[in-house]
Amino acid sequence: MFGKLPPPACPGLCYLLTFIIGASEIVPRHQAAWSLRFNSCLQTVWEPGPGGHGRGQRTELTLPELCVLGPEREASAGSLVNPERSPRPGSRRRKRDGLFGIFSQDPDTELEVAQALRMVKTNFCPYHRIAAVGASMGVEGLANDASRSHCPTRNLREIIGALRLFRSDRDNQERLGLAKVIQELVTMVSEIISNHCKLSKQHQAIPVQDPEDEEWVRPQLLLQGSEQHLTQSVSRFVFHQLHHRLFPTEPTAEDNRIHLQIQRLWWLRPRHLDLQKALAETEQASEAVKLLQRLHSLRSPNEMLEVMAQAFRITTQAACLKSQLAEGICKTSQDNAFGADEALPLFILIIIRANPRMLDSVLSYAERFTTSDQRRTEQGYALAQAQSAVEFSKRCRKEQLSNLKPGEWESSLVLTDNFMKGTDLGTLAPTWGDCTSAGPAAMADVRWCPVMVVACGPEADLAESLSALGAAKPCAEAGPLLEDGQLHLAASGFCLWENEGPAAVMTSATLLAPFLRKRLASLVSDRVLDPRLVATTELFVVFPGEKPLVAEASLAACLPLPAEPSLQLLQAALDTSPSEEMTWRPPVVGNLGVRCSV
Amino acid sequence: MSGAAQNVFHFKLVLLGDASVGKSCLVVRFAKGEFYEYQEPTIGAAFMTQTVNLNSEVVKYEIWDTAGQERYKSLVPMYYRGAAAAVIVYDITSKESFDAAKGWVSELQGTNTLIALAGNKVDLEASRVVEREAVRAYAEQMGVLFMETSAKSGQNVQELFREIAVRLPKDSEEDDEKAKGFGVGVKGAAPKAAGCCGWS
Repeated sequence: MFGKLPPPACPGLCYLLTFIIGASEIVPRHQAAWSLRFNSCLQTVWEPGPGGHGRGQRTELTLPELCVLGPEREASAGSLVNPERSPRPGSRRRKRDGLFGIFSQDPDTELEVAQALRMVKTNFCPYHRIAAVGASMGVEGLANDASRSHCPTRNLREIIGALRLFRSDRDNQERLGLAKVIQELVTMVSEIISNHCKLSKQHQAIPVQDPEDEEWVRPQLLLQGSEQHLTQSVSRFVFHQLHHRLFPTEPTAEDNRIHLQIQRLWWLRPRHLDLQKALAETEQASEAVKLLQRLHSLRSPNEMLEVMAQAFRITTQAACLKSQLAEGICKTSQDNAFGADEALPLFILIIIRANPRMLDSVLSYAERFTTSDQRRTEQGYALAQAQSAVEFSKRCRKEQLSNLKPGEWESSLVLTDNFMKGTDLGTLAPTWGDCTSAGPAAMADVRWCPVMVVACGPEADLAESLSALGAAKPCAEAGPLLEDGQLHLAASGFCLWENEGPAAVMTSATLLAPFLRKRLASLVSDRVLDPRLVATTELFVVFPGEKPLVAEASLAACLPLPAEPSLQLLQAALDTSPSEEMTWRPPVVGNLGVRCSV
Repeated sequence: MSGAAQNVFHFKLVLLGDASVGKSCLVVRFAKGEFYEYQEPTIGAAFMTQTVNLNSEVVKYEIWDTAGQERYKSLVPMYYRGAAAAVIVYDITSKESFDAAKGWVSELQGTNTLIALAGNKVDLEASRVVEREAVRAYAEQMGVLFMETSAKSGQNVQELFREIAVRLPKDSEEDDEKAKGFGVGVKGAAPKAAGCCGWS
């Protein structure tokens, strides 16, 4: 079906099309046709066909001629101003500084708006007016004001182009009032398309019943395009176009800080927040973790909010059903209905488990570019939950947690902190000794087992990546193995078990050295690494035994350590038996001797 | 826009109160009450919506529950930010929960939020600790709405949310927001630009 469509008129629009196909699971079937129709309208708004190039030929789907006014734009940005629109060649360009100072105050609020972006109809554009006045007086170039930028536009492509000219890092976005301008643009485009498609507002008034109550969808609903759907499509399109200007491409310092802070709490369990373990361990919770982990790769604030809300919804619903089942029957009048008292700790645990990348950027992006209407809904609630979770992990103190075993807080944090700083575990031994001497109960339910960690990724220079880490020789016992342009590595690891389930695997950073994306610049210490692998890397943990178990793993943190001595020290310090579920005798760490047979 | 149809107003309502006062039950009772024909499909959870039909208007609540435990207390302002109404729940059998409720009342006094105080678990009259009249006097003094409710029997639950709906100011905020987007950019800017330019 899609093969027969003519190729889209502009490269940007491929995007929208791909997205709709990709999202067909969540778009109700009867909306798909409308998605395509909105898309074709957007194409026209984006750039009316070659026939409509002149000023005269305007259709319903043409944006009014608008001027984007703003502060002086960055020097590097090219000029978008149309040659025919800019002052006529040959005219003396007299630069006037601050002529437009009179526009620097908003007459309504009397606030300084000199730094803000404005979008006005050309008819009302002060530049055009002054130029006209100047022309009538015979003064040319009256409106050339170097202190402000002025971009006349004729279609959506030019507006987006004009918006892209401004430096829009996070501080600037607020000063520019970019959120407001984008909102205006989305509303304007939606209105134009809505008029064109004659989306009837009357239909909206029909009370839409709960779809679950009706076995069939009413025919008029099938035929009816929804304004909400239209606005979503338009806003998604506009944000996709501007995404790389609005959302940082690399984690910011704050992102990294929050990432590490959440990382520190990886050991937090439901009991620490007085939450029933069963509520936190649902299939939906794992699904939510996966959803949250891809937040930073989404390309519009609405999609981010949607995913956050979805993650929130599925976990609370699953937990709620579980708690109701546990009570036998749903008794709403009982004293303990499921509510935020359970939902918040649950979401905190999920955020900690997911520890999404660039979380701070995602949250502030989603907050800045959503309407106040949206902030009131479930999506807004999910955003508040996520913000609370981040705030909680920032401020988390020992007194706030329940059911801590003696020494648990200290040992967990010391362990994490030292791992993060890349401290040689040799210096850790006294601390560990202390906590085990506090009583055998201290680490009683933490067990361990050795595992094999297998990584496979694109070919890389092992020696070079190792020396970048400051390591001399690879710790990989088996390999490196080069096959089909893929590099395979395997090494021993150490798996901590808690509550008889594997909780975390540790291995030496030297194993992963060839696949690590890059070093993080002096964040906590210069030995902390960006805990990310190059995109094509696969990472598995193999639990040996009679029937070896293979589990996919994802990397949470990576620190350069002298591997085998550290792990042996840790093993000795834990001094607890290996997990009882392990029927085999654990070999000494470092001598697993399993060959990578991939 | 909706012509003769009823005006729909959306309000954010936040629930505050200690962990065991039954605020979640109160709202589940409200959201699942048998008085309303059309219900949003909800299972009891932290976020719910429910509508109240007044004569000429429909009030649609977006209800935000908050965690009541002490350890999350500092996070609560993130939830009540921008709320039109706050229902502060205490347990009539617990003095502590009432003290906590008073704390919330004074914290929210300075904001534009409409405050309602709900003394829950009135079905447990026998073990009452917080006297009704004392609270009534306090509520009058602070100028907040007060009702004693029972999530168990449903007593006063619908009444409470209906009363809030009646009292909430409905200054057609909805229409303003609708008109804003397009208006500011194109229509709204017109007189502004012309006005300050003054040369037209």
